[in-house]
Formats: sequence, C-alpha cells, structure tokens
Amino acid sequence: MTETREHLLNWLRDAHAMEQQAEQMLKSQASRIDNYPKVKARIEQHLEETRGQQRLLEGCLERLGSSPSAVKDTMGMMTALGQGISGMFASDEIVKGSMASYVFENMEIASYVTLIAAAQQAGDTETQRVCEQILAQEEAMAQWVLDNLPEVTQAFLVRDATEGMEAKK
Amino acid sequence: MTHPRVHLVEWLRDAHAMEQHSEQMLRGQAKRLERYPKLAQALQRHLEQTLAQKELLEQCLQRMDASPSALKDLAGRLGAGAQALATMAVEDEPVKATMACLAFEQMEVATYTVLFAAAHQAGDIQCQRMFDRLLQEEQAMAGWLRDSLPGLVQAYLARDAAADRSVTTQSMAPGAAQPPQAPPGPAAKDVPFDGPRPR
Repeated sequence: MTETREHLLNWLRDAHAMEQQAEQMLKSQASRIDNYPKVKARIEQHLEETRGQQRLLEGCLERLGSSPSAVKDTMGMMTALGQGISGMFASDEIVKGSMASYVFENMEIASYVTLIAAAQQAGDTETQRVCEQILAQEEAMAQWVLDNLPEVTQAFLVRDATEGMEAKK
Repeated sequence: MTHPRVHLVEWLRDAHAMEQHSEQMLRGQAKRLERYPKLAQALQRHLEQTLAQKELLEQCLQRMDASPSALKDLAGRLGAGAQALATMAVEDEPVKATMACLAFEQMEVATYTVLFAAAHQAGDIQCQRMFDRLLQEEQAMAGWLRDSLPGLVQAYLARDAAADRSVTTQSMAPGAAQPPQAPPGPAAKDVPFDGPRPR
C-alpha cells in the first residue's frame, strides 16, 4: 500500500502543477481574445474554477502530509507536456487555441480519472471525492469547448473571408 | 482575407500529419504494452484504422489538387504540444502513456470537428461525410481509452505493489486487469479490455 500511496501523492503533485500551468494558459488566452466574447467569458469562468481546484488539491496534499512544492523537479514529462500545449495556446489564432484548450482539458480529465482510481485503491475517500468534484468541472469545460468548436470555426472562416475584419483573436 | 477553402486544405494537411504521428505512436505503444494485452490489441486495431484514415485524407487532398506535407515538417505543422504528447505516449510507464494516447485521440476529435465545420462552410459534402466517419472512429477510441483507464491504473498499482512484496510472478500474469484486493465501486468496475466496438 506504501507504493500506491506514493503514486497517489506523485500524481496529486502532478495535477497541482498542471493546474498552475492551466491558470497561466487560461489567463493569457483570455487576455488575447477580442472578437469572441462567449469564448472569453467561458475561459474566465474556468480560470476561477482552476484557482479553486488548486486550493482543493493543496488541501489533499496537506492532509496526506505533503505539499505542492515538495517534488517540483520530478515532474519532467507533465511539465514538458503542459509547456508544449501552452505553446499551442500562445498561438493567436482562435481555432488552434480552442483545439489546444480541448486537448489540455482532456489531459486534465485523464489525470483525474487516474487519481480517482488510485485514491479508491488506496482507500482515500476524501481525495476521491475532491477529484470527482474537479473532474466534473473539467468535463463540463471540455464539452463546452467541443460543442462550441464548430461555431468558432465557422465564425473564424467568415471573418477571415471578409475584408477588413480581424479573425484570428 | 483568406478563402475558407485555403484553410480547409491547410487543416487537411495538419490532419494528415497528425495521423502520421498517430501511426508511429500506436506502433510504438502496441509493442511496449505487452503486459497489458487487451490494451495493446486495441491500439493495434486502431493502428489499422489510422492507416485507412491516412489514405482517405490523401485521397481528399488529391481531389483538391493538393498534396500532403512532407514528413519533415511534421513538427512545424503540429507544434510542440503534439510532439510532447507523442513523446509521452511512448513512455514505458503505462499509465502516463495511456493518458497521452487519450489526449492525442482527443486532439484528433478536435481536428475532425474543425474540419467537419470547415467542409460544411465550403459546401464540400464528400469531405464532410469523410470527416464525420473519422470523427466517430476517433471518438470511439477516445471513449474506450477513457473507460479502460481506471482498470489500467488499478492493475498497474497492484502490479507495482505486488512486485515490491516480491510476490511470485504468477499474480502478475498479463491480463490481470483487476488487482485482487480492489474494493468494489464505480471506478473499479470490470472494464472489458476488448477495444472499441467496430461501427
């Protein structure tokens, strides 16, 4: 059970680092969007949710006798991945940015599905409950981005085919 | 000012590059995950689907008098995010690799959602139909990976704990999807590792 707990802790720290990256990405994306107010509003809403999620994860880590900063340098892969995807985000093009949001949300979904299974195995019902709560928010965001993607794409194409209209952001 | 058709062709090329990436990723993963045979089989089946998808995209590009991009600008077309995902997907650690595969599949879902909307806008019904089919295939694979993830995580944890207790290799036999002491519950439900249903 020690190994299971160790994995659970590592994955919790990964998730916390991921939410910190999410915060940066969402912030910069929200500040860049000019012509797609609905997208901007939803991103701002999720930014608030993301900050709440960080606090929830910090609560879990503290309860388990750890802290988010404990193993900052062991996250190699997740960090590289987050940075890569945030690079996609940095694109000032709304369609690519929305696709990147969707991929990042799904990375988060996969993380919380993993954490829930691990918490269950470790018999940690509180961590399981917290992760289920966060998972629901990530799923709602991912679904919203996907549902909105056809509209964003077509709005982009129309704007870009129109003389004198800014389409990209 | 850009005509929608220009974007359609550009995004088609992106999709083709993505499927090429996907092919390499699935090939590597199917080999590495031999201790999780049902997952490996599902990836193998999706590899065959991916090869067919690539061909469909090539036909579509030809019909539009365009060509797929050269393999060497894959990185340029897909960006660092997809690169990082593909790297993570061929990691030895099965949980992270599966998470990355899942995210990659979802990137494909997003891509075909965009392409479907663009083909609709361009009035290209043939393309639209094709993207609809590809979208459904990717959604099925993503859904299957997602449903399989909890079982995989728990099998991995049980295997890891068992290895540490120096338990005989018998209890770590391939295909032991459920750990012996897994408590019952929604996330521990017996996941059939048999791959997405064919359409």
